[in-house]
Amino acid sequence: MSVCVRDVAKTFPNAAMPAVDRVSFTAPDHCITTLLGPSGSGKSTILRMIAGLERPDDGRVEIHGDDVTRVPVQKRRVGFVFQSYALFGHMTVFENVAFGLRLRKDPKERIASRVRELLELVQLADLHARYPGQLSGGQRQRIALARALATEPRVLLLDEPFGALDARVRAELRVWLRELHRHTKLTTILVTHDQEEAFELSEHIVLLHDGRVAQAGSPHDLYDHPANAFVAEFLGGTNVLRGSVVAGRARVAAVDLGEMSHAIDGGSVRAVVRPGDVRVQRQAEGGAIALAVVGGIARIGGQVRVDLQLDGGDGVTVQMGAAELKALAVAVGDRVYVDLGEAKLFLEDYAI
Amino acid sequence: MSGTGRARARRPSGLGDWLVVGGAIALLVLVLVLPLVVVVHGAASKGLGAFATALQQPETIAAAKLTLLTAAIVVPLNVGFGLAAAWLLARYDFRGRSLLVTLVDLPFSVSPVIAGLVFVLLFGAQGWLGPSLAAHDIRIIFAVPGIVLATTFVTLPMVAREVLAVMEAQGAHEEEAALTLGAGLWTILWRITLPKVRWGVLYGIVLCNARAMGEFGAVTVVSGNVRGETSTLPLHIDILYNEYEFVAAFSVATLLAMLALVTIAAKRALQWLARPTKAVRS
Repeated sequence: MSVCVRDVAKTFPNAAMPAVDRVSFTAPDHCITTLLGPSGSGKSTILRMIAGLERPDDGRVEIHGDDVTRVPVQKRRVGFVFQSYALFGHMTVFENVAFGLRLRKDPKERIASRVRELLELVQLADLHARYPGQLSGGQRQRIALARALATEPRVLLLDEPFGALDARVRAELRVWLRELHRHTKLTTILVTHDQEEAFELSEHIVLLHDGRVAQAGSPHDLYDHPANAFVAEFLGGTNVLRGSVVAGRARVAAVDLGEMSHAIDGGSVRAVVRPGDVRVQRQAEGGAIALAVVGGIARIGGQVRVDLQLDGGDGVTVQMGAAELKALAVAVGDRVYVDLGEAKLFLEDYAI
Repeated sequence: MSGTGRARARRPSGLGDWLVVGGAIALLVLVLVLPLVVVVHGAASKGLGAFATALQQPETIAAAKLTLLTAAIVVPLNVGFGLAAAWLLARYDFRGRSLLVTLVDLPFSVSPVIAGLVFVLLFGAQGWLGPSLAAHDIRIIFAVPGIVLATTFVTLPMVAREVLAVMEAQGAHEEEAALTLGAGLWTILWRITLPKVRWGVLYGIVLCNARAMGEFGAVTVVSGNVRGETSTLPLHIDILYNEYEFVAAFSVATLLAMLALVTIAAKRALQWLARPTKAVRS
């Protein structure tokens, strides 16, 4: 059951800027779609509007082709999982999962067997008599997921589901959620600010920025072909170099980085390059080579972070393996050549 | 919400700690324990017989009945209003919300005597609505309705404040989860919200009840102090005391104090009964 969001807009009372500004996207059938973006990008608000917990000022929400914009939450048949778990603290695990089934007035035996089945699915069958307060964070979130799945929703909506958990549990639950999705094939929309989570879990990513869609597509699309400087920077490009257009070509840090078609001479250029995509060389080889001085070297486990100072004054961070650094044999203060050929070029927005 | 447990407490150690603890205990004894002892001692000074006689006077019994009646009307009103107001203020954002919050707090900041006067000015013989009430032979001032009104005004914030604080601390995610699972408004109120805020409600009831039974200032203005008719326990104590019937005054005061202790004991008992689920709040 695909979810389709069309031109949805929402401005909260007393807010100067719209939280969601005419957003459209489609979450395909049987896939995990991720709404990714920094905090304040409107991703949670969109999810809450799909659920019906928030009413859009404008636009439409469709589930499986039905316009549900005016349908109340209870009738939308969506499963919702909160970052804060939102388990009913005064009910046992069993009663939490059974809650929606009891509201449907299912027969008792059916409820009991369905709850057991779900608790087995989330691998917590032996905890049915516990109260949420007696469970760990990861267990609570699995119960919350079982509760959301109990009423056979058409769509599963996850609002930063692992945000409150520590890194190890988060990684475990990610693997587990992917397994679970392979079983259920339920159309899922996941909200997260964690790009690693988005890349690991989803087949489709909608990257949001200031209440608008910055880019939507497969993880590889976004990573390899960022549509604008924001996408490139958000997806791992922490090195941003500024330059200008000279004779139809981008010049950044006194290096020619390639053609900028349709660009006016003198326009500002932003070059974004990931720390892992910068090559450090002893001898200049290749086209886009800049000169730099090694400013600092920091080891982080098996990886090394090298901070370089380009001749133009910009700083560039490079990430490489410890072995690679050893082979290069560079030290702080050394002059090196830097290959910036992997940089992605964007014309600067004049609005900013 | 993992940090609901009390921070690890330690035993007092060193001179500073003991000075603070000792000071607090001395103050408690001075302003809480000693007065209670004095009241009970005064009541028993002429023996249990005199105590019993004082309580069996028809005026005392009438005052006790009126006090209980007032509390029995005011507390449920307060619970209803408090829950509705807290729900509104915690769950909705609207124009004038902060004004409403201030209004709910108003009875706390206004002197009870003024609260009483307001009702006299409104419903009294010379008041705005006085003539039309008199025409229909409805008595509010110097009668039971006035006492109930004044007490309601004075206790209005009790439940609302307590419940609002609990609701704001807990947020609305559980209610929203229930919504997505298909629950309607009443189901959510009964099965999710009320169980979540029950300690706030209970505490509000205890405070409200204590204040309803003990209110003096507002009630004295509107009641007219007719012995045996519109005099509640606090007013009755005042009358007895002013007539130099000290044993009777202290005896009735003991009764009122006992009612307060019963309220607190009832709260404790309820907490104890609900203990198995209380230990597992998320």
